[in-house]
Amino acid sequence: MGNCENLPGQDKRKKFLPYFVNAASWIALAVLLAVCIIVRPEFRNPQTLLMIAKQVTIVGIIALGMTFVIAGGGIDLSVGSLFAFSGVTALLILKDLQEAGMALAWSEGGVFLIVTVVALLVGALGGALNGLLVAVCKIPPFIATLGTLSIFRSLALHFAESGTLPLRNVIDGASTPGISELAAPMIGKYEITAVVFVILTALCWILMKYTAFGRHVCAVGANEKVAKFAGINTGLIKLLTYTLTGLLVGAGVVLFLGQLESVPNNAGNLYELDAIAAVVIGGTAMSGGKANVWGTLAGALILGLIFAFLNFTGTAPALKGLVQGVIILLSVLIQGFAFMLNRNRA
Amino acid sequence: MKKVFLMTCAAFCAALLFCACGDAGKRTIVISIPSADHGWTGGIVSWAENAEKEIEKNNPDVDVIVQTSKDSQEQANGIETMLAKGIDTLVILPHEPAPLTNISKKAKKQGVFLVVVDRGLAEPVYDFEVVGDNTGFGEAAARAIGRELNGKGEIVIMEGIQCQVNTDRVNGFKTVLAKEFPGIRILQSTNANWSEEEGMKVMENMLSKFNQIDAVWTGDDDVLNGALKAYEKSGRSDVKLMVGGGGSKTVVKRVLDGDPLVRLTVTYPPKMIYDAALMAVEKKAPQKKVVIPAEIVEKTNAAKFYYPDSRY
Repeated sequence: MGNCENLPGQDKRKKFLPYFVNAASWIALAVLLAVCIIVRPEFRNPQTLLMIAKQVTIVGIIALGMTFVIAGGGIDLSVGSLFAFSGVTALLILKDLQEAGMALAWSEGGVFLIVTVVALLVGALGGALNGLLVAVCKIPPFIATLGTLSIFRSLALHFAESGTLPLRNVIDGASTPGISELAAPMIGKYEITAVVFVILTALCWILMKYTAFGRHVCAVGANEKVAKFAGINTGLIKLLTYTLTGLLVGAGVVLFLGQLESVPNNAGNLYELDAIAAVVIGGTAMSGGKANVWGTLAGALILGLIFAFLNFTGTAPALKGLVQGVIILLSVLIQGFAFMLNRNRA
Repeated sequence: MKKVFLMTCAAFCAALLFCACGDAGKRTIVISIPSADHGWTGGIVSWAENAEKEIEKNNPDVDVIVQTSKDSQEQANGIETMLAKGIDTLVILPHEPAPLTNISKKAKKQGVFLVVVDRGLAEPVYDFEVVGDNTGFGEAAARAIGRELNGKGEIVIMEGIQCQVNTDRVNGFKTVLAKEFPGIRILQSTNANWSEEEGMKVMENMLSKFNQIDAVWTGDDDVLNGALKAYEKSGRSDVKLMVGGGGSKTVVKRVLDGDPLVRLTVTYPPKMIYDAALMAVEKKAPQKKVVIPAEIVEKTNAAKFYYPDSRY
């Protein structure tokens, strides 16, 4: 399941368990879902499940990038701030183009195109900056991205003058078209944003499992020195993981604009924690060297399931954190149990 | 490479030092506020900056410093630094009353003129306070919703971040509802943390949980905007009324335009920091406790509360 560890020389009987371990997050998800379905009737409605998938799509996409960063032995704390900065930049450039009288900026497709290009570009550049700080300046990833977390958020607040930027600007009495049909596609009454999540997960999985880049990421994360001696350009690999994360942050911004048509000043707040949680729940080791891309999808879905569960059960607001923490720990414990089982048998 | 890096650092530090040097001999007023972590605090930052401009324009001998902080600890540290520098007046909007009482007492002991905004302190050590009425904010919303629903219906509450402000509002709301409108049932009181995104997600959850919701009280205009997006997309038509709070321009505009769903909102104007700062310059207020009442904004009076150029 997107695991880049080789498991050679095993017979069929023994092969089952490693797969079990790789799929541990999916098992945790299934157990959790089963409990939810038994406890609350809302979960029996497929539309609720689609809604949950939609709700975790943005953080989930960012978590996909985070999977590469963490597998490569790094961490990116700046994703939430970069998210806000990328969104603010996209809307301000859009507004400038509209005020300059550019015809393209006044059609739905044009708005979508401009916002997407700018968001992806700013995201990728911001990610590349993180990558340079880590790979070239040799700053520990935690500190480098802690610095940019502060910088990106501050820039976003400064440019948005601490306020909320709307997508639909009113200029000379004319209102800008929205992009919800393009960035938040619907089939009937079903919002299918989550399809984007699944497609991107599949692409990331192919990138991780079937390309030299993916294998090199894991090699760098497992042991940087050995990877270097093996001729891998470790700096470049790290730079690319952070840039990829930034790019996915930009993609998240486009989906966010499709849903909320604005960038509030607290956009992306604490996304980094949710993204890291999704990656770790998904079975990617914080120590690097191992990745489980499909696991990240499961991890994100578990987070979404918890959010809905808390609202459906009507848990008191102050106690939500307790329940959330316990469920996260349980789902990781289930995986730990699966791992132990595997080790004892092998 | 290293040399260039060091030199850049040195230049950076020099620049910082240069910026930090205040104008000597001027009267210093510090406005200490939370940083813009949601829409309303964004409004506070914006009005504080307006006050800075206005005061410095009219009083060349006054230097205003706006200081933002992400939590109580950082706010207390920031004020402590300023006290070491020596200031004349402190206008503070505390993150929480209790943790900022000590540092405020210390300021007072140093002879600093102290003005407290929005949520008071644990001890009344200040010269005067300009406060919003959080309990009244909840009560006003409850009365308006009770009236609009003719005292009957089922509603959902979306609370803010768990803190004293939120507790006062929600308690005020629930008390009035229980006393004056026993026919209105609270389906659920959950939290959306004053965030537009969470408002949308929580509303999606509520819509799939309940088949019939008559009204929603979010207590915050950002959350309301998110909840409205979720509701409009759902294609449902059972909700008769959605009430936010704060008085942001987007929501007041909806009221002004006669939106059937957003017929009213309750003010909690971030402009109070601006008013307090202007009073602090003069060092006098109409009374020791200036209460900014929570007012109901409806179509008839919305024009009075609509600031199209405001950032909030």
